[in-house]
Formats: sequence, structure tokens, C-alpha cells
Amino acid sequence: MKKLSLLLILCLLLTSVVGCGGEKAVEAPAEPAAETPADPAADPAAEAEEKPVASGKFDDGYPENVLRLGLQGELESADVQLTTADYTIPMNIYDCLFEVQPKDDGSSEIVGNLATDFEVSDDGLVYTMHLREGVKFHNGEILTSDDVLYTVDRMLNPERMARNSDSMSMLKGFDAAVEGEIPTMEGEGIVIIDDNTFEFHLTKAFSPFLANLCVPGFSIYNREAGDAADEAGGGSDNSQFGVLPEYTIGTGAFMMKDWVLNDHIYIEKNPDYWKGPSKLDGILFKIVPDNETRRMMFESGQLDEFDLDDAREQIPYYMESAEWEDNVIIGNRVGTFYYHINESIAPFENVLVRKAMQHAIDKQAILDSLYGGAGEVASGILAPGMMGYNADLPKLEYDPDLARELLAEAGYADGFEMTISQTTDSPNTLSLNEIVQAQLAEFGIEVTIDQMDEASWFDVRRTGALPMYTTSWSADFNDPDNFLYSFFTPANSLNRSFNYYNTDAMARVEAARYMLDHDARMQEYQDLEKLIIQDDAAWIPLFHLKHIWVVSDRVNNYVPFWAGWSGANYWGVYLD
Amino acid sequence: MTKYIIRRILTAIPIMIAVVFIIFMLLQVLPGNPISIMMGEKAKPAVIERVSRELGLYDPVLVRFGRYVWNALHGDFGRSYKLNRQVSDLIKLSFPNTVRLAISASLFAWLMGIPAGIISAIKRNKFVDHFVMAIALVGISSPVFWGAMLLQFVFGFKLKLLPLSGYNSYKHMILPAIILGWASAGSIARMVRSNLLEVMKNDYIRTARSKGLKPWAVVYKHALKNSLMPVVTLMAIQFAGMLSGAVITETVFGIGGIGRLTVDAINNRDMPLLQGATIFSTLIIIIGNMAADIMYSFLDPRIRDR
Repeated sequence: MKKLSLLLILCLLLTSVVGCGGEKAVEAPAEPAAETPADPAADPAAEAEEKPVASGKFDDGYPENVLRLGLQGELESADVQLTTADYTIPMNIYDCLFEVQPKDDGSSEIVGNLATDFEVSDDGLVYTMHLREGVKFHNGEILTSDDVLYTVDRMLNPERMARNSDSMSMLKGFDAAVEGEIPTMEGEGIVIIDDNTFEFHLTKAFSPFLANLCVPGFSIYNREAGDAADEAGGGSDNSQFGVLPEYTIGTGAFMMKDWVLNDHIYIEKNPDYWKGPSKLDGILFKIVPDNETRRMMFESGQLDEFDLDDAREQIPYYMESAEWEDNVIIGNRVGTFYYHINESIAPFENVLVRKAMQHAIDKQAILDSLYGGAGEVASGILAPGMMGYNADLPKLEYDPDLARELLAEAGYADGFEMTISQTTDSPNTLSLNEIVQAQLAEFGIEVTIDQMDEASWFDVRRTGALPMYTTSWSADFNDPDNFLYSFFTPANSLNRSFNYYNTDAMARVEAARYMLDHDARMQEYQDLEKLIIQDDAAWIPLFHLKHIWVVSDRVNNYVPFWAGWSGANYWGVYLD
Repeated sequence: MTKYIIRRILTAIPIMIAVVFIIFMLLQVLPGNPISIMMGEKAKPAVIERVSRELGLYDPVLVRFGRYVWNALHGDFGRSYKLNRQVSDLIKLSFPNTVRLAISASLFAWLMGIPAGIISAIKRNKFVDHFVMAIALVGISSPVFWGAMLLQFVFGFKLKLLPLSGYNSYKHMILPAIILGWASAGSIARMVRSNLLEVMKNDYIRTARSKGLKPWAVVYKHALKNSLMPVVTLMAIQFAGMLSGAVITETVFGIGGIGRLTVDAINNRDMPLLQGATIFSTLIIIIGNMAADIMYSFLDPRIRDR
């Protein structure tokens, strides 16, 4: 007995601690998924254990003709109505009615996708949509107008808590629907004519409406699939749509197959895709939180793509290395970095001071030192690739003499003290702020960087009292409204703490949403951009960054997608 | 004995209740609306408002606490704000990986730490002793992420012997087990060594030696059991700690365990998930400590008689 004491101690320790539930937890995933479809715990881990490992070139057990991509973190949900950020997988498993296509000259256009074409009534209030015929969902159902109605109803049902419901706020009946007063938009914002024709009814002639329909958040769902997913979870408050792969159904080029929490997601080719099947067998998204691990996996061939957003300091290495320079892909980000100036904090009520700041910061130097020069200095609000982007906007050059002149004219020749605020957990923002701090010191402007925890930062910002800060905005949909209306309205200007004083300009931003003449509307946005940024100096525009990836040798036809979000559709990609 | 165990379990209940209350209250007094932080820059005020209302975030805090406890008693720990799944499902999916990691790391720690400690004690002040203790010290004091990246770089990237990331085969388990187990092995070795040296001073060891027993037999048959008692406590607490998640190891090696789940929940102010994960970890720690106490009482009858 004594001889066994050590062994006994170890065994006891192990069994008593693990026995509390640990052992059960280990075994639980081995239950057959088919018997307990409502139990998300059962399915994915079991599949993970069955996978053959370390076979062939890859150690993940999936076929070779699979595109392997790295994800930094777990998805919020594959139900795109429950996210405002995780668009990559939705963009490959669902389709929208329309999509944005980048053109060779860097601009972009809206083209039909699940909708083939449309007509707008003269007053701009009724959009008649024609759906593509014979499009099949992954569950075999055929796409009809009723599926579009279901998608909208689902998005506006308050119990579903959709994160992007406001994108449909121009539809008739929206307010009643989101308050739960009407169960369906049929006969209100949507009128079904037949299986392939329906109308959107708007309360006002909202010009960016079509652009809104291209956002992944408005991917089209299938009613049968949605109902089945609700039933599997025991009700709409625990729907398994976007949770369990077999219930996550779309019309897209790929179908959800495996999802192992915090490990990987696999989507496989949809053989019935209406544009024709992808040349890939599937796409494997490996969830690898550590940037350096992801980089090593890319360089050792376990991943086919590495997003240099995750290792900006490596941009020069990849761009210049003989091994990788031909594999670098550069795309427009359709986004703008800028500083907000709070006009209610002295001395920023003075437009001369704000203009001086615009010329005192050397944006090119920041771009070069922090982002490897990958981008261009901004002079306005809209980013390249955006509808209405004005390449001829006068440049806001770095001009220390002019800045000094403006400061002197404003009565601050010796500078002043000011605060830049930021959240505590953003080292990149801190580097940027520190450079600006040093640059402004040249003008006698003494900057204190005030770091706050994120929650307090958002809280103070909402009250309009947050000092100057930097952030970026990237396009959600391809219309200038997405940029200008998000900032330059009285409510948003207060919410975002810059207290822009020019109410006339803000009224024009509101009015521009409802202008029907497209060319006149774009002209109005360009005029407003000049007025707000260059005449009123409400922002300090910094730069438009490029988005840079490096891909493995076997990847072909990797075209950066038009999107402010970082997702992409990989239908056209193929591997050697 | 049974009475002792029951008593230990009964004392754990009020601790658990207090923990649930404190965690809940602490999370409630954090500033800011979790939905607005979660949705970030793209959040529309009207949507934040509607979602917060639907989630009952505007109810008084005691109402929310009551609702939470009531639902929890019915096995419903809520739905994660960020990951949009049941908290209990998320824990169920993550815990097996954590258990695997904890077991493999502990086995590594025990199999390395205990023999190393014994060798060190026997060869006290010899080169072997200094060498082993130096390695143990490196194990205890080196940062996990540094060791992890080093091993990953050498064995995964350069030599291509082991996978860099993921957790779906025994090969995937080797590096994380070494990294996580190394620090534990270090403290175990040091503790075994000092306890063994202490025990070796006792009279009954001298008696055993004078009987003419071989040195290894003296150590193994007479000294080791007595010297292991505090080590068992250490091992139990270490093991329970590993079961509540090893954030850095899980992050560097891409293991979907409890640690990463919890840290992501903190970063996203995901209240239901954070509450669920913290309560779960507390439970594990309480049980781990209890197991150590109970084992102690097995090994040393004086404790349960007290």
C-alpha cells in the first residue's frame, strides 16, 4: 500500500477535481449531434476529434484545395443581423440584393446581385425590385419575394435585437415594426407582387437606399431555414441560425460546414451557386488570436493570407523582400483617419486655431513612420473609391509657417495648452498621439494625452465634453451620406463630441439625403466637404490608409473587395 | 470522514453565493453601457437604445440580480451579448480544451517537478542540485509568452516538428503542456526539495538509515510521503488554477479554452459571459481547494479530527 501512495495521491487529485464536471464536459461532445440538434455543445467538438490530423501538407485535416485564412478572434455570430463588424463569413455564405463593384479607375458602381434590376417611381418613394429566378438556398429552397419580406421582418422584430435594423429606417412602417406594434412589413414597407417581384415603400425619397441594400447586414435569409433554426433552439430568443452550421442557410457561394468554437470555421463550396461553383473546395478560417503566431503560420504555408493590418511594422519587410514582394496585394480601404476637434473647448472655438492645427501636423511623416507610407494624406472626408470622392479637393499641406501665422492672428503666437483623449488599451493610437504631441510642441502647443478606459471614454463622448481625439471611419455603404450624415448632424456632432457650430451646413447634409438628382447631389456633397473641412476646419483629416495583404504562392485572382469593412468574397479565388 | 467532507461542502455554499453577488454587483457598477462598447464606433444610438431595453439593462440593479439568480437556478446563465450563444454552451464547448490542457500540463509538471526535487535533495549542494534548481528558477521566473513563442518558433516554425496553433490532436498538446507545466514544475521541484531536506533531518530517518537501508529506499519509503503533503496542496491549487484558464498559453497557441473566453468577455464587456465564466472559475477553485483539504485529511488523520 505504501508503495502506491504517490500514485494514489496523483490519481485522487486528478479524479476529485476533474470529477466535479470536468470529465462529463470532456465526454459530452462525443454525443451524436443528430440526436440533440438543439445542443450546440454536442456537435462541433465531436467533429474536431474525428478529423484526421497531420496528413499531407496541412495539419488541419482538410483537403488541399481549401483556402486557409486566419481570423484574429471568434465571430460574433454568423447571423449577420447580429453583428456590425464580422462580415467575412456572411459575405461568402449569403448574398445581398445588390453589390458594389470596384472599377479599374478606383471608383465603384452598384450592380445587381440577387436582384437583377429595379425601377424607382418619379417621386423616389417606391422601388420595384425584380429577383433573379431559380436561385437556390443551401437547403434547396428557391428564393422568392417572401424571403426578402422574412429578412426585413426578422431584422425589425425587437426580440431579435438586430444590430443593423436602422439601415431600414426609411421604410414605411419601420417605427411600428421596431416597437413590436406590427408583426410584418407586408403591406407597409414591402408589397409583394409575385414570387419574383416586390416593392419597397419609403416614407421619404431616400437617395442612399440602394447603397444600403449592398451592406452584408442586409443579406437575404430563407423563411423555412429561419423557422427551423428557431425551432431547434426552442424559440426565436435562442435561434440556432448563425450558431449551428446546419441551420445557417444562405444563397452564397459557400455553405457553413464546421464550426469549432475559438478554433476554426469551415465553409465548403456550394455546388449549386447561381454564379457557378467556386474553384475552391472550401475555405478554412483558423482562429488564431496571436498576430505573431498567425504570421509564422503564413510563412510556413499553413495559412494562405496574412493581413498586414496585424503587423504594420512588417509592411516594409514584405513589400521589399524578394520572396514576398510579388505576393503583396494592395487595396483601398475606403476609410479616413482624422482628429475630431471639440469646438466647445477653448481655444478651438476659433476657426483660425483649428486651421492652424490642420497645417501644423505633418501627416505624411506620421504615415511614413507608423504605417510604412502605405496610404495617402487626406484633405477631406470622403475616401478614394467612394462615390462622390473629390480628387481635386485643395490639399491641406503641412505648412509650419502658415500654422504660425494663423496662430499669431488668432492671438496664440506663443501656443496654448490642450488635451488629447484616448482609450487606455490602444498602443497604436498612443503612438500617433505622441507624434502629434511632439509636432505641436514645435508651435508652443502643450499637449496632455489623457487616457481613459473605453467605457468612460464612450460615456464622456456622448455628453459632448470629450477633448480632441483621433479615430477612423470606413464606409459601410457606397454613398457619401454614410460619412457626412454619421458626423455632421446636430445629434451626431454632439454624440461624437465635436460640437460643430455650423447648423446651416448640417441642415444641408440632412437635405442632401433626399435630393433625387444624382449629379446635383454629388456636387452638393463635394461642396459640403469643402465647407466643413476646409472653410470651417471641423476636423483634421489625416490619411486614407491602404489595406495590404500578402498571399501565398498558390493563391490566384485575389481581388481586394470594395468595402470599408475588411471582409471579402472569395468566390473567384483559385489555388494552384 | 464523511462528516468532514459534508462540512467542507456546506462551507463552500455561502462562499459561492457571496461570489455570485459580488461579481454581479462589480460588473454592474462598471461605467458605460455594455452594448455601446460592444458595438463600438459603428453603433447607432437608436439601436443601442432598443437593444439595451430589450436586454433589460435599464431595470434597477436588484431586479436584474434577482432575475439573474432566478434564471441561473433554472440553469439559464443568459446569452452572451457578443457571441450570441448561451453562456452555458460556450463554457461547455471551451472547458474540455482547458481540462486537456490542465491535465497534460500538470502531468508534465508532476513528472518533471517531483523527480527533479528528489534528485536535488539527494544531491544537495552538488552540481546536479544547482543545475536542477537553476532550471526550476528559470521556469518560475520566465514569462509564459516568451517561452511559448520561443518553443513555437523553434519546434513549430523552424524544425516543423509540431503544429504552431490549434488543438485537435496529441501533437497540438505538447508545446502548450510544456509551457504551462514548466513554471509549475519549477515550484514543485523547489518545494519537494526543501520539504524533503526538512523531513530528512527527523529522527525516524536516522533510524531507517541506521537499519542499513539503501539511501533511495530511505527517501522513497520513509521520507517522501511525509514531505509530499504540502506539495499536494500546491499541486491541487495549481491544477485548479489551470482549470480556470491559462490565458496566455491559450492565446499564443490558439486554444479555445476558458481563459480566452473570459478575457474576450472582459474586453467586450460581455456581462453574461463574464459572469458565467467567473462563477464557473470560482467554482473550480473552491472545488480544487476542497479537494486539497480532503486529500490532506486522508494523508494526515490529525486534520479531520481537529
